[in-house]
Amino acid sequence: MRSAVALAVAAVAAMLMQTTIFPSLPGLPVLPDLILVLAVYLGVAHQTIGGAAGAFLLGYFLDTFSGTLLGQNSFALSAVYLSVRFVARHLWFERGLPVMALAFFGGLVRGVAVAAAAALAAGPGPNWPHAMRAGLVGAALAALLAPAVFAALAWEKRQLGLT
Amino acid sequence: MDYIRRNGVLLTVALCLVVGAALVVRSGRTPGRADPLGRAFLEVMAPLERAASAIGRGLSGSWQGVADLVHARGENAVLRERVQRLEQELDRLSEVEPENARLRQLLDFRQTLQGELLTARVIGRDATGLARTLTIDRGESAGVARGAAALAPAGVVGQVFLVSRHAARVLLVTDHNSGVDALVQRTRARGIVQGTVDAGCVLNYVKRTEDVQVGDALVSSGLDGIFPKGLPIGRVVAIDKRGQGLFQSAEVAPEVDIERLEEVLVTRGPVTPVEPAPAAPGE
Repeated sequence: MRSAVALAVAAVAAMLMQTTIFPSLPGLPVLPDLILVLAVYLGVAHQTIGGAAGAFLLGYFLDTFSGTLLGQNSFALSAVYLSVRFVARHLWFERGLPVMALAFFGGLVRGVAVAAAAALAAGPGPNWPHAMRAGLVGAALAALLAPAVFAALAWEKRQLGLT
Repeated sequence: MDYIRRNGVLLTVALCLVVGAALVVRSGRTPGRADPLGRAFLEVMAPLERAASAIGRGLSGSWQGVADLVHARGENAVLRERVQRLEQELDRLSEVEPENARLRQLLDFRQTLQGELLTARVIGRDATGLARTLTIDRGESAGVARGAAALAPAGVVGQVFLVSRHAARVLLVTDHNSGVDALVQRTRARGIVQGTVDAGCVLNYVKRTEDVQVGDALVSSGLDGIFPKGLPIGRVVAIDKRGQGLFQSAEVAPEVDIERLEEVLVTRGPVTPVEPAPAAPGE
């Protein structure tokens, strides 16, 4: 339960940064997606039913504050969780470069899943080249941020006495 | 039962994927959004966003201050310190002046429209950058409803698509899911201004025989029942007559600088432009 609360607090903080702080910083070509990194973290550290449901809820949370298509990010982050979990079951990721690589992989999966969801809606969604371009840049940014986010989550867990 | 226990996580993810896909399909077919969970998230986050947005504005000012300081490195230490102090003071004061000017502009613009309008502050922007949306600090408690138009002195901003008690989200005209019924001001040719994936706009469905030129101003037609007639939308910057279809299209530069938008007017019910007073005899 405390673990879920810790993650919820992290998600709220991440969303506040994404919707208010990052857009006000000049010169950022693409917004860093901290929620995506949280979903990657769930895939690594919470390979449970709660972790899967958490990834879906993170997506739903993101859907509330991004775009108009409800379910797009819920679908995408569930796919990210599944892919990351699959990789993390066979390899050990905790910090540094491996975490960056995993976040990059998660970002790519998210890019593909978002574009697939948009196509599924049969509406005027983002076109594939654009989605892939945005997905690639988003994945690179997620990779850069992942070690810091993982470290922040580890710190939060220590403060709450969860480790 | 044993199978379910052993594969509980996979089955949960599969269920999440199916629910997510179902939500996407449903949401793609129905205009607007009526998800109670989303409304709750929006409502909980609104006060936090309002506070964080103020921090963000302060941070943006400080960021600029740091950049200025780096440029002034060549000057001596005393002067640099003094410049920094003065700049901090200036930042604080100069924030008030443009805000006053913006609000005055908004008020002047408000006089040109008949109907109920309220002022709202932009407290958040799209969380991913894949779509073009804003969060504003007014919701149902202030009378904002789904489908209301968001306007700025420079013209059309967008349309409200999700409302909670104290906040609402606006779909911008530059979003690829957006469409505004428009007229070419000079020739009265009709078309639809739609957003593009790269945050621009394009004028579509204009008959090939219509006269559209680079530099033409586009205004809202009022026929969509959302935006009042005659509000500026953008200006034609390029025309595309390729293809064999019945229509031509044109690239449009939006009038409103979406990135710098801090306040908007939101309609409450029907709004019409104020008719100009008839000229006095002998004038």
